[in-house]
Amino acid sequence: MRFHYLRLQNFRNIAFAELDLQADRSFLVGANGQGKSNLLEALGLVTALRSFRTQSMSALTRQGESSFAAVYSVEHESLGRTELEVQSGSAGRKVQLDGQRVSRLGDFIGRFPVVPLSAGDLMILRGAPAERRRFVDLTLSAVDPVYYDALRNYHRGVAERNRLLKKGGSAGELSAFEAEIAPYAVLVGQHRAAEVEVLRQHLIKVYADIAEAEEGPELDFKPSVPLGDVESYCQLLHENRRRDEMMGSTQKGPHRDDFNLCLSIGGAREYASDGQQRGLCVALRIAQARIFHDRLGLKPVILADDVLGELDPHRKAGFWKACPSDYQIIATGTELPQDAESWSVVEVQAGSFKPAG
Amino acid sequence: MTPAYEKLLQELKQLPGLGYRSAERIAMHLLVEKTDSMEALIQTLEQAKEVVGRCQHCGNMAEGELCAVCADTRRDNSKVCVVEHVPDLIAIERSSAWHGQYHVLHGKLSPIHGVGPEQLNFSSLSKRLETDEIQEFVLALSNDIEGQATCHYIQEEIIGPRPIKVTRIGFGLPSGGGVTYADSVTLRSALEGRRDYE
Ligand SMILES: [Zn+2]
Repeated sequence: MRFHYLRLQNFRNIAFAELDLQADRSFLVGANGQGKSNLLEALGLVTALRSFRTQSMSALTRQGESSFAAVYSVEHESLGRTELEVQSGSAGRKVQLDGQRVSRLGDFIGRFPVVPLSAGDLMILRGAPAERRRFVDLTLSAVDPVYYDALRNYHRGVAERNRLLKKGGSAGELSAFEAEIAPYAVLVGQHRAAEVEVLRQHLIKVYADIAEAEEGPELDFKPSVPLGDVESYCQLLHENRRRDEMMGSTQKGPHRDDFNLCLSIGGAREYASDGQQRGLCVALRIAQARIFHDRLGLKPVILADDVLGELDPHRKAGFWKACPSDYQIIATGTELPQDAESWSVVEVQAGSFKPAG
Repeated sequence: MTPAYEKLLQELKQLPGLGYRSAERIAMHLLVEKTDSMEALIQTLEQAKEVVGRCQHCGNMAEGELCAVCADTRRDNSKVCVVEHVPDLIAIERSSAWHGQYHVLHGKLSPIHGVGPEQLNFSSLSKRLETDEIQEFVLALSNDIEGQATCHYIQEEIIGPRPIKVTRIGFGLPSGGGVTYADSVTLRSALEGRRDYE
């Protein structure tokens, strides 16, 4: 897919903006705090209606306004020229595809794949397990509605069980929810195990392009409970009731899974240099892009938020080697890139956007 | 705008599905535009409130002790379709794919929403298991985790080891979807394609 243009209203610091994005490569240049990243963030919403910078949708609406609107014109491999409209605010969320309302997120997620690269990606390496789960879950949800559905049901089921644990629900009620949670937990675990292996293989290939030497990157799935069948999972929940009741919530299960990223020298978080960590993040994102491309049959758009300028020359060259040349790339930076002539440049100042030249 | 109008507007806004705009339109219509329809409406509301209640047997809407379905002697009393809400029952009746009886739970188990077994119409279901000669239950509950847990609860805690065939619909229903909003064709295929409850 490719973006053709974007129209934004009351998004972050942007009162109104209209932007032509037809070029293969667009570069938004401007000082910090002018709105470059905000615009990229708006483009990033189209994959799963999630911001890659914050978990709070309400943070996206301009101060003093009740909602924001974003209209995207997209050239799409299977839908053709498509207009997508997202409105979100205090009154709820509304998504329209060529004027038709999309009511279920499950019908929407992954239809417009974009891959954001930002400094925030370092949190995937350095942050809590939840950051890694979020990355994996978004990748898997976008390519597989069955996974998305299972994950949603699993989380919902755990929330219901947690409430039962807190208020002291009957054994019959606990059994009823546990029996229905178990198949989803097993499905989520199986999908994670299989798909993380695919992600791992992409990561190893991509990282080889980016790294300076053979650094042996690895990505492992660390499930909170060993993968098993529905019955054994059910039994585990049953056995853990007492402990879970004491803790006030379900202690084990896919909602506590983790993923381990490392180089041959050791865990990425503890041992890798800053440059290696940035390289790993870029490799993870390109691996995500490849999965989107393979599984959805759609070329994702790469959104590089102030990332390319931060890479050393070797890794930057590696990025260009690893990133397919026919992906649309929209990047930001405080300074123009050295190869400025190969970009369509947009100057950004105080929430307004002007094509350069 | 007068205090009485404001009060009516507030009351109307509390009704499900009515936002400020629709509440305003209804209040205007009743008070300003068509005052003569008001008397009839008030009377109808009062009458309905007086006579409409719950069927003692199945929980459906009824005037008197039994609802129209329970009172109908041509229905197959050995088969009972369990639904969450009265509109689900109405939707299935409209599909004319079901000739057995119903049981309306008035909800599904959802601890988050404070709904436990005591809040649902289970006691009269247990009674029916003793008195009616039920051979088959079809569980037509929503296709989400709460609906599924409620099915499980009915199977394990209410029906127990009794030799009763239990099936649940689900075929063709969108995941996360309820019964009321499924179209007749979907409902018919869902009822015909019901599968054994494991
Ligand atoms: Zn009845």
